[in-house]
Amino acid sequence: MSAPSFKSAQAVRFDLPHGAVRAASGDDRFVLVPTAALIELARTAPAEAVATLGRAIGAGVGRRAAARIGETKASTLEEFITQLAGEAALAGVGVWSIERWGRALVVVVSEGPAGGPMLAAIVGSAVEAASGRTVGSALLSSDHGVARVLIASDRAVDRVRQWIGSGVSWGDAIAKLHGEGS
Amino acid sequence: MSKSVTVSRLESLLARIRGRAAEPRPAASSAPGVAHAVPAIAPPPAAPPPAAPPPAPAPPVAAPVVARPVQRVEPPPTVIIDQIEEATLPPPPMASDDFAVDVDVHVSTPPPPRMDAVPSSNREPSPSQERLSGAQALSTEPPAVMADVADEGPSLEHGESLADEDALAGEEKPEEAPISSRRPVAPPEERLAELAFGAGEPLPPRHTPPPKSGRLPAPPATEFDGDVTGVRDAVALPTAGADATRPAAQASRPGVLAPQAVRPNLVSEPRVADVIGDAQAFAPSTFFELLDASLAL
Repeated sequence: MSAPSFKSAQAVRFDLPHGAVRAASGDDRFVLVPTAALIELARTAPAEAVATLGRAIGAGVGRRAAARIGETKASTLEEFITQLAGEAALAGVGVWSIERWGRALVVVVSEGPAGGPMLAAIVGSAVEAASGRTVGSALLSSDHGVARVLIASDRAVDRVRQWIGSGVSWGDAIAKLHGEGS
Repeated sequence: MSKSVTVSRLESLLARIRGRAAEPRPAASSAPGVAHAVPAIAPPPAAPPPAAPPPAPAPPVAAPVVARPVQRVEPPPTVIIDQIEEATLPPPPMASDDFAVDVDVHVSTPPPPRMDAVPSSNREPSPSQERLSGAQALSTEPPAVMADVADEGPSLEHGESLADEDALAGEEKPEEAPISSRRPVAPPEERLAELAFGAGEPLPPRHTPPPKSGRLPAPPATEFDGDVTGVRDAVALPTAGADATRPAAQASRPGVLAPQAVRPNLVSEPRVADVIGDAQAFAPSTFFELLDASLAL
């Protein structure tokens, strides 16, 4: 079994006569936005608006990844993350990978354009769109250009946010999450 | 007995003696060192006198040249000779000794001077074997001289005294170890003093054991002065097989530091690590299994 690969050829079309940037699949139209503009928006805009923007970006990444994966329920971790990370890279939101902490699913985003709540909304929305399941996401850490986002239920995400807010490290929060859940 | 009878007897006796002296002696009977007892020969009377006393044995006559063994002779009978020419008479008996001494001609040992001081009359008659020993030590001399020398021959006592003198002379010399012996000889006190105070240069041991077979011993370690040679921190190059033999070689030489390795005695046991909890048994094969597990938290 060969390792899964992401085919990026002609993934984005620049329609210069019409002044539009389009994806290869579908009719999605893109707008190239400077990263500094997004960071400024995330810093000044209300959290709900930032989360809504992030979910919109992630949903597009998830849908295009699901289109590449095909049968998502039978896909392996490698196949799934390969296509999802490929679409995320086309969108310019960093390099994505998956970590498994016990039974918890953690998506690691490096070299991302933005951190904080917007990134957690982008990742959560992308996984939800790719898998077709309703998931919650919470930002665990963002250090040295590497951010970790927990993908879990909304209830578990709320508890982890509380523990981290109370001073518990994200590792202990995940461990406590396993203790309570088992 | 008349004189004529006596003279006639003496003449007949003289004739017999001369005749016997002229006869050649058998060689077997003249072996050196062997004494043969000559039986006393009673001369047959020329004319048996009617009232003659029993024939007396002939007086001992020393042979002029031929050596004869010692023979004890019975004391001759007293004979009164008045008108006999002295030239025809046998030699007179030797002093007052009651024995005759014959000397072996092959032995040439000068008589010791000590015997001169002791008069022969004071000496006790020695057994025949002792006299034989003394006779063998005499040298060949004319018969007249031999008789004198025979009286002055060395006795056993003198032989022992000579042996004692030789022994005393030998004791003055340092004891020499026999050639076949490897026993070290203790030096005399003079040598000990020389060795102690440095009067003389010590000599090497006289008896050294033979070299052992096998490998030659290593030469003694020589230390060089760094100021002279200019080599101050020289590191010896390792040689092949030197590491294996170095501890034994260094241990055999005093004054050389040798490492003493102390190694722990570690025994492997089955329970070294204590595992707390269980390893992760969750291994999802698909993404959805992991997603469902994460959503179940």
